[in-house]
Order: sequence, then C-alpha cells, then structure tokens
Amino acid sequence: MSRILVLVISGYLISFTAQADLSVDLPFVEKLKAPDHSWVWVIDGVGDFTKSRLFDTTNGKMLGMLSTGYWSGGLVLPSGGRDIYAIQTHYSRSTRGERTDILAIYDPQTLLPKGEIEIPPRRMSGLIQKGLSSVTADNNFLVVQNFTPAQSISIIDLSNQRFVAEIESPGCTGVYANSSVTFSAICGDGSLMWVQMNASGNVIDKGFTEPFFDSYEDPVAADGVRVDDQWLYASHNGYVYPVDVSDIVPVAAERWSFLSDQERAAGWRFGGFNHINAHPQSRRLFILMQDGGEDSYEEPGTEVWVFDIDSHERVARFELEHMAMGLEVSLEDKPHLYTSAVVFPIPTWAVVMLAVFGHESSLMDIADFGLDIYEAETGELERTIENVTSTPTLMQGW
Amino acid sequence: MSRFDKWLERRARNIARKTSRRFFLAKLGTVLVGASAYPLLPIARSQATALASETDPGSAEDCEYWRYCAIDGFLCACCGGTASSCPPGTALSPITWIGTCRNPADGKNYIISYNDCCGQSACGRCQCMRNEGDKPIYLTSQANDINWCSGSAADMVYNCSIAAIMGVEDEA
Repeated sequence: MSRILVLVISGYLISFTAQADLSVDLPFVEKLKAPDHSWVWVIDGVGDFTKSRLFDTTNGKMLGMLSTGYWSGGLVLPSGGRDIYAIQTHYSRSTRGERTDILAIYDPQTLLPKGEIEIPPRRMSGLIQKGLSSVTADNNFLVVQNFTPAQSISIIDLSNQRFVAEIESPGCTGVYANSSVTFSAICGDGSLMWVQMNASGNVIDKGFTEPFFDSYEDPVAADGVRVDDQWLYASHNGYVYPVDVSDIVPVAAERWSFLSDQERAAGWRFGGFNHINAHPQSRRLFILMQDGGEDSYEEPGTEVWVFDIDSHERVARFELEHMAMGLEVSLEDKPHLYTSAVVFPIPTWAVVMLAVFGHESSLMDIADFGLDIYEAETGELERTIENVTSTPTLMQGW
Repeated sequence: MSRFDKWLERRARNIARKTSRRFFLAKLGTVLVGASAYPLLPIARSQATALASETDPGSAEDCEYWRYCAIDGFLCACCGGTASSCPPGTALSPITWIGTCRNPADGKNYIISYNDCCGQSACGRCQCMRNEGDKPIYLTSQANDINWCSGSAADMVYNCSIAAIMGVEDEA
C-alpha cells in the first residue's frame, strides 16, 4: 500500500517539475513607494463603511485602500512622506452603540494604522466633504466642523498628535485653514468667522467679518479652493468670490462672474458634488459645468470651463467624454484633470432607447462610477479607470 | 463621427443628465436629509396612514410625489414606513431641515419637515434627490446635504427619510 502511495506521489512530483517553467512565488504584502502627484485618492465617502482607494493615474492601477468608517471625513495627505490622517466615526456595535470619532493615523508606505487621536464625537457628516475639515498650510493643525445641531469646531495638533480644544461657531459651518495659525468658517449671514491660534493651537483672538455675499440670493457653495493667499468660492448664480487670507482677518475681494448674461440665462451653472478646483502654478481655475438652470447645482457636469484667475477670462472649455460628479486637478507641473465619471457600459443607442421607453431608473442601476483622466491644457481624454467607487463624493490628489 | 451619431450622443447625454437628478444616486449607498422636531404634527399623523387621495395626490413611493420637492435620501415609504413615519427598528431624528412644497390639489404651499430615520443600515430603496430650495451647509435648517442622524439624539447610521407636513405656509 505504502509503495503504491510513494509511486503516486513521485509521479506527481515528476509531472510537476517537468512543467515547472515558472519560478516559485513567495507571497508578500506590497508597500507604497514615495507618493507622486500623479496619484489620486477616490473617496467612497457616504455609507456605513466607507472606503478610500488610491490610483496611479499614469497606468490606471489601483495601489491600495483605506477603510474610513461611517461617512468618511476625507483624508489629510501631508507632503514629504509624512503620515496620512483620516477623520473617522465608528459605532461600538457597527451601526449603533457608543460613537467614537477619531483621527486615524496611517503609515504612508504600509497603509497600516499606527495610532489615533480621539476627538469630540460630534463631527459633521455630509454629502459634500470639503469644508467639513481643513489642515493648515504647514500641516501642524487640523480643524474639524462639528454639528449636533449646535455648531462648533475641533482643533487638533497634528505635530504633537493631540486634541487641543473645541470652540463654538454659532451660525457658521464650513471651515477653511488660512495660515499656519488662522482659520475661518462661513456663516449663514454671508460673513466669515475668523480665528487666531497661538503656537499650541489655543485660541487667542476671534471675530466676524462683514457679510460679503447674499446667502439667500446668491449663496456660495461651501466648497472652496485655495490659490496662494486666496480662497475662491463659486456661487449658485455664477460668480467667484475671492477672499484674501494673508492677514489674520480675512478680506473679501470683488466678486467676478464666470458666466456671461447669455450663459446665465441659458441655465449654465456649476454641477456635481465637487465642482471647483485649481492649478496654482499656472493660476488656472477649473469649474465643472452643466446647463440645468436653477437648483441644478448637484446635477452631473457635462463640461469643464477653465479660467485665468487673474484676468477672469475663460481660456478653455471642454466637453467631457462622460458626465461627471466631481473634478480634481493634479499638482503636476503639466497638470491632469480628474473627473468622477458616470459611465454607462452599454452603447449610446441603448441608453437613448431605455430613456425613450421610460426606463431611466434602469440606466442608473447599470451606471458605473469611474475616473476619467484628461490632459488639463487640451481637454484630451487620456484614460478611463472603471469601477473606482460607488459614491463619487470626493477625490484628493496627492 | 457622423452627424447622426453626434445627435444621438448629445441626446443621450441630455437624457442622462436630466435623468440623473432623480436616479443617479440610486447606486450610492445612502444619503441624508432631515429637519426639526416631529412631535407637533397632528396633520402629519393623520396623513401617516393615508393613501393617495384627491387632497394629497400621488404615491409616497414615487420621487415625484409633491411633498418630496426638497428631499435627498431613501424614501421611508419604500422601506417599511410611510411619507411621515419611520420603518420599524429605526429611530426618528429629532433634528431636521425644512422645505416648502406646493400641493397641486389645493395650490397651497405646505411647510414640510424632512426627518431622517436612523438605525439598522442604509435602506437602499427608492433613492430620491430633489434639491428645490436646498441651501449650502452654513444655512443648516435648509441644507439637505447634511446627515441629520449624525449628532442627533438618534446618533446611529442613516436609514431613510420622511416628509411630514408641518402646516400651511402663511401667505402674508
């Protein structure tokens, strides 16, 4: 019996070695190389268990992911290979129980958790995640918007990895770091609350600016973009409101229109969940646009309009290959434009037929949320990466 | 690309864009809404079990239902509740946001409280996103992009959203 067994095993071994042209694998766990401006995080930001996935846009490969808890608060991506931070909410029994809010700290090479800072369990969660937190330019402090519905702001010292303080922000929601020790929040009356901290993160002064926009007639989206010393906010009616933050107290500059009267009348507005971004090196502003008219500002964009931030002139207008829910611009010297693409994996005529015969809802059942990568100067589509997210709420270039 | 192909492409884009307003979030794993305190709603209670009627036309499981003019979330009527009640096993968020919707039956504007129901998990049925009158998050009481379960007394995960009548808008 045992002789037969030995013969059988020998037969297998001989057979195996005879065909073994490939070398033996030694399974291991990958590590990330140093981050690159061609990498982008796609935040699957809304849901019970959110995910953030990292892609290399030069080849379309997914590089890794992070699990980011209930309704992600987004990532903080310091430069220079420093740790990654993720603002998270967790419940002790998965979807219920005691709530804990943390700033999770991840190693940027292994993506393994290496620590956490507990923060007040009151952070605001929302569909649009810009403005819910902001990191200072030197990456020393993070400010996080809270909502219970009382509004307050948590200050976290990243350098010393500690929660510093929670301050009230009555009537103001949407936080933006201004300098290494100042930040502001957008208030319901169209003004800004400004705050000055000391080197430890404790508040030493605060106040309110005069209103600089009409929050009911022409509200700005709480989705600002930083270019040098200015925050730029786009409004529902098609204006850019610049705010200079080089001093402790922010100063609003004169608004400028990114629509002609004809375009405004034709219903052109910004669109999607993250509709505005910039390339600071070339001082170009990119806005995701659609022509759905009033109250259409969260509809998918069909075009991207590019503006010179200084002259306010539109320098380019691209029709997108796929309609999109958000846009991001890489910090490469020769930038790329990333859009959260809504892709229908069926021929165009089939899309039309489904719509014509009243099955529009089926369209969205088959829609795939991908990532389109365009050459930002020409608007030429370089690549579509399919199936990158189920909730296209935020992209963060590294 | 032929002229016909271009026309088809453009038509498909337009259809898709207009379609998406109601349906594109159907794939998303969730969403929000909410608003103020529920207690005080005798009208809403009386409506809670009502079916479509001449005075309250439409289906509560239909995104086009008039009360949903400013909603953003899964319709509780598709999840075990109604237009003004939460499904079993969930909790009503006591904080909420308010919209104003015109009832086509009597032509009056009604004040609607969009409460989130919280607990279990995201319902995932009858996603409906209508932003009529929606405002940014710094105007919190009119913002439907906020998760109104989070931070409330019902601090659990989001399940679905209701649209309860608070009263008739004062025409003065």
